[in-house]
Amino acid sequence: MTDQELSKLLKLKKAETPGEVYFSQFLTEFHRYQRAEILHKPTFSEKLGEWFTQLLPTPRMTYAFSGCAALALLAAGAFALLPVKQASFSTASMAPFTPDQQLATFTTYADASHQQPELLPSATPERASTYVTGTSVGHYETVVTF
Amino acid sequence: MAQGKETPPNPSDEELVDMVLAGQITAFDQLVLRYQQKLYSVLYNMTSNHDDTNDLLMETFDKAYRNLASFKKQSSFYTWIYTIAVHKAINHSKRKSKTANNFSLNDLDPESGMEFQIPDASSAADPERQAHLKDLQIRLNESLQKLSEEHRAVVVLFDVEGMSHAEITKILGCTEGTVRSRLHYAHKQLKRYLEKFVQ
Repeated sequence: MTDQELSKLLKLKKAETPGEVYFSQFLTEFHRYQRAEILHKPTFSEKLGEWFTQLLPTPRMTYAFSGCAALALLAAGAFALLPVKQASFSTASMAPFTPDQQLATFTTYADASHQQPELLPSATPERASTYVTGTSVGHYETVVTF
Repeated sequence: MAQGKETPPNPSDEELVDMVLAGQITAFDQLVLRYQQKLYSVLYNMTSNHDDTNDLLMETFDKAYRNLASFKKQSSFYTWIYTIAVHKAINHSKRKSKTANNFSLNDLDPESGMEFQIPDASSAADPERQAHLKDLQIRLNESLQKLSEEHRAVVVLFDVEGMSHAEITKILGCTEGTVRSRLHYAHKQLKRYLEKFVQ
């Protein structure tokens, strides 16, 4: 088959028409279609699709935009995940004592006042940093912490 | 109706657009009547289905009407409305091929009342030849549907509608080189599909 034969064959397709009756009624049908469209409330996806079509008239642009949007979404996701891991690690290691923990530490030594002073580790002569208050015994470290 | 303005005897497309934008909305009917057959031909040859063509034709005119204010007259109305129609047909075919996975022969409707008249005097007297030409029409539509949407669009606009490369470039938004290469490839494919049948 030559190019001329193919061209001639394709030209014949111009003759494929639905007939005059269809075209004479088309305008009336179109008016009916327009009236129906006014009543039709578009869904969110239809609105979004229409917006994209107007924004990106060619399919190539749509693909490019979709690709960029997907990459941006992935990058945003990765960025959002990474700092969360770092933050949880650093805050855990630097977490201060809660008031309950501090109270527990202090209570341990406060209870120790009921024991014999020589049995207390803080009462040993080599621990010069030990001191005794009216009601409790503690280490400097404990007091500093407190 | 725009009052105080006279309607030109044979208004151009751009004048009709101005009239619609000025409030004379019935002027759009003239644009519909002017382009319905041309756009039908493009859409039908892109889809090979009368019902789909009818829907797409309605949608094309509706979209053109709704977006008439955005028509900047940088190109002709003819190019603008063809662009809407061709892109609608391309998107429709892509959507359809995605859902159906493959083009089905049931999508073709050779018996939909098309007046397919081959200007061949010998065929009128020869029923066998008439039947052969009918088969050829079906095979041609099948072959066109085997092409990608972009290749099919180029073939329809160039071979069927008789547009120039420059006009196709404006409608499809691609370079003239792309149009030429798509046309070359599409012709090669079509000849391959039709070869056995024509022999």
